[in-house]
Amino acid sequence: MALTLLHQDSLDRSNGGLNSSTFSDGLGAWASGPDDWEISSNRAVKVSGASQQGIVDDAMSVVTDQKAEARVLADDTGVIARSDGGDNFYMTWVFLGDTYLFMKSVAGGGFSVLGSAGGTSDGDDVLGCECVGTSIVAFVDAVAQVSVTNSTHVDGKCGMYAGVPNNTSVLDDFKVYTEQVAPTFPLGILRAQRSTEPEPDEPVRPRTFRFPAAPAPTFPFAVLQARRSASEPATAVPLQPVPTFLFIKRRFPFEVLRRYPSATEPDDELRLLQRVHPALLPLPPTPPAFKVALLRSRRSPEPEIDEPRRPGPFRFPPPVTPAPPFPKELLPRARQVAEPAADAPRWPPLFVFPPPPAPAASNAVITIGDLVPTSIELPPGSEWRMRLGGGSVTNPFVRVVVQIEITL
Amino acid sequence: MVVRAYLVPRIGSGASPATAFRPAYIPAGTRYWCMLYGQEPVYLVAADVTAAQHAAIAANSPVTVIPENLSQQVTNPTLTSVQSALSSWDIPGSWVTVGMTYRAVLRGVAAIFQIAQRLSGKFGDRMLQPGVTLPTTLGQLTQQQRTRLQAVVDSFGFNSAGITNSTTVGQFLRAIASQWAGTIRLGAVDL
Repeated sequence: MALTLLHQDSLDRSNGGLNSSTFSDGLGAWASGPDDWEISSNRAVKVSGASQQGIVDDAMSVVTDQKAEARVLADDTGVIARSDGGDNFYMTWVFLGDTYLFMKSVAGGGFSVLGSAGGTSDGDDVLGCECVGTSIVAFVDAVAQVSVTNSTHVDGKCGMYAGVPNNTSVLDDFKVYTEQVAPTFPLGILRAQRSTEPEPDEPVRPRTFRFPAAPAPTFPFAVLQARRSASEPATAVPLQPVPTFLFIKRRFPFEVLRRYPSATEPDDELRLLQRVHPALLPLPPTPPAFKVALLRSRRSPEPEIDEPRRPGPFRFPPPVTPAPPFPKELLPRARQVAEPAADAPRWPPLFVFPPPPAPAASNAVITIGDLVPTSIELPPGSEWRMRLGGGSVTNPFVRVVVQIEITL
Repeated sequence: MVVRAYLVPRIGSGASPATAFRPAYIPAGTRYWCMLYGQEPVYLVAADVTAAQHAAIAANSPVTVIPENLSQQVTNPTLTSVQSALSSWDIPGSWVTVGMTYRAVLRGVAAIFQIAQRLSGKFGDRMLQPGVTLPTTLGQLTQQQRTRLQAVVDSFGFNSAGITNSTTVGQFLRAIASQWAGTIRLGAVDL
């Protein structure tokens, strides 16, 4: 995490109290106090005999990642980071010509050494105390001298510290670095110009914001057609099971995911139809019910073609309006039904299913939440329709997978 | 000069920078990096020392000297001594096994120290308060102590699953510290 300059105080101003004063950059501000710190000759010193030893940049937020930096020109003086304004902080410190990294904790912790640079201070160094996560680093003239992992203090503010009760502690050019934050710009009007329209009598109030209306949900049905190739035998040959997956993911608004059969193409037409009855909308609070219908018939009477017909590009049909009455056949159970009479429309209207012949239906009822695999064997050459339906969704985020295998 | 790691007693009063808590036996002017076991009186320290300085430090009986080669493995004959050395500092050591490198051992110790540090920084508490030892179970602690330990775990984002009232303080420290994922830095020594 890169730390960037947040506040800085050159301390170049008239002699006087430091407490509560504003940084030279106009951004930072020293904490208030009983005038324990003062400006003297464009440097910060602690007032002789004053009790307050530390002073922090009160204008900065309490943050985790930060670095305090200052030019330290006296012994027993340093910079602090992650200070709570009291007795908890990390500190880079000059003492007897050596630079130490300290930790100070209240309630029995006391001052604790976290490392020593080994006598590198010459009495005029730029000291830095950087805290990034649990990494605590003491810098001397921009060189990391002591680096340790420490988890004692989590956050706080940057500041300065004087260890002796006199005005010999001297610091200059204080800087605060914090983690880089993307600049934020308040929304506002950069420039406004009165229109030529007449002024209204009353102040113009902003209109209540409205999100644009969501498009009406559409419930597409898809047609997948596969035809026998001319090179394939015309006799009825048991086909490989064609796994058909219909994924239905209930969300709000309704969303349908689907995947079509695998590369194996049956010698028949396969039609997947599904829709949700609009009467069951809007949602919630009413738990929606939805129906799934699978229609299947044998080869189309259309002339054969030499090459398998491939599914055309998928297109969403227009929204289904108006909603037809919900057919009783689908509530609440479903049954396997027979092909309509020969003179009946080849593809009857959706949700119309004549009575079933043998073989008997089996498990054509799919109850959402109690889904079981369904397998129905169909005699070769016959036309069948199978309907799966019934049930309701009680969990609005349930993901239902209906797997249909067709074996001829 | 070579960087050596030690477990040494903590000295000083902590009253001021001049009398700060600091590792014992480390010569003045030495470059070193150290780590506290919360408020327990022991330091894990890595120091850049000469052979003579190392000999002087190691000559003190309370000092536990870590092998210079941290890739060296704990062997069967030394396992007991390693565990005993850790126990002498009230550091859980039963998790150390044969084949573990000393770097892994130090990392485990340093991670345990971090847990104790957070308890100290967050609540001003010692990990091993009077009457509390490593075999003490969490159920024997006060409700406030348990709440604070949970807060420490949460502050790291660690998982306390499996920690029960029958878990000992030593087991707790190891279980939580073992979740430390990043590098633990002790100056020139990365654990």
